[in-house]
Amino acid sequence: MILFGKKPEPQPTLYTEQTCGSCGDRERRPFEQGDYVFKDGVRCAKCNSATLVTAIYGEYPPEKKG
Amino acid sequence: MLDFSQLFLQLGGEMGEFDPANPMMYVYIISLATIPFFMLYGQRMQGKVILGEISKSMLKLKTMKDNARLDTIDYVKQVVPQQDPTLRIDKFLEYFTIMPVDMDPAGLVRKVEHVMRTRDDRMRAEVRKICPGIDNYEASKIENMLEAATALNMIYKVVRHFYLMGKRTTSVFVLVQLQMVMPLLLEEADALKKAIATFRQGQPIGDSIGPMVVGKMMLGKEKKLVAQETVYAQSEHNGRKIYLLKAEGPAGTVGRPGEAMQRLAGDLGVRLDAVIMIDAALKLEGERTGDVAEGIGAAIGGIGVEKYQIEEVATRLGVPVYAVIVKQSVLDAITIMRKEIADSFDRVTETVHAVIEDKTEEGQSVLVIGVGNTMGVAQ
Repeated sequence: MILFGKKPEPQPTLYTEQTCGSCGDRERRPFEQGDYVFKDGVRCAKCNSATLVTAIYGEYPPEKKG
Repeated sequence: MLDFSQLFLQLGGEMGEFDPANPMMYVYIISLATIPFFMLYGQRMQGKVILGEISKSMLKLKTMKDNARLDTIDYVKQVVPQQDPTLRIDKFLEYFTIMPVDMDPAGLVRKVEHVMRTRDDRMRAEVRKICPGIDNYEASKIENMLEAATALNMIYKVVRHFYLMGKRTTSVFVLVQLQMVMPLLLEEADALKKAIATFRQGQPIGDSIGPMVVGKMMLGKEKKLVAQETVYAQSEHNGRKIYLLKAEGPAGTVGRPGEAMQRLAGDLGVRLDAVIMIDAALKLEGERTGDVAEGIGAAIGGIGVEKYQIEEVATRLGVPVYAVIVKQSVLDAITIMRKEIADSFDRVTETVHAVIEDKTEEGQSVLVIGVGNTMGVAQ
């Protein structure tokens, strides 16, 4: 048992969020090299309309309390 | 020969009958003897302990600095495989800037601006020499990576300087000061290390929230270059004319919002009734990342040149400056945008619209500036 060991640093999972210009559906997928905010996204899975990348972010795992 | 009989007699008087066969007597004597020992050597021993701790932290800093250098070299080799950039990058890491003399403060901002512009131009030129023929986006990534690697190199060198000085002079006071600031320096160095990975991928950082909000408002509008790497567009909101200003993305630049505002209000003759600045701001410990707050004044960091220019125009024209900030730590500001910050996007937009409606009337003009590094954020 490690009493005073350093906790491993949490790493964020990177996501690219794209929003459909027609139905407003937001979908997120893993970040890909070359993505940037307000770049044209892939076609909407629901209505097949054009989408726009509206956010790129890193999500950290929730902190354990106690 | 030393005669301890008097001391034993005294001890006997204080602690009962002296009995050489009683082992506790020797414990007392040794305890008393350690007092002068620690009086003489305590500080030196403390110095040794601190030196050990600092050298461990210095090793961490050295690893971070070396990795930052290698990452930058590695990335440049990927972009331009034809030549080895190692020598040029090593030379660049030692590059320094001398601030102008401040004995006569009159006109100091203009001098600082001149020095900083020269430094930026030199940096751009150097990157172009290292990687000839690359586009602005790639060049800005390398510029940002080089800047972070240079900052890490500088932190390491300053820490090493004080460490060696403390060691040479055996001054515990120098070492204690260094030990006190070390956790903060390590935190900053860690943030810079992570920033390099983010810049390498061209991802938006926490500081990009201002350009992101204004970039969204600019979508579909005609964008015009108003200062170096800075664009503006015109829009409308509830009968108010809105001028939107941000650095030109998705390249990693902060643009020149001060100079742009001077040009808009000067050469371009735009009448301004209010200025709203959106920026990332350092949160205090205990505050939540991504909280949005509203206030008064020029919300912009940096060395102070842009802030001065904005304040100067606003004061001269009597235009109120409102600030909308998104709270975050140093680490959050220069590494991949956290979800909590990205989630604040709608709240920031609502706050900006509320300020426009509350503080201005129909027919008036408002300048909305998205302040920050626009890495990975277009418009």
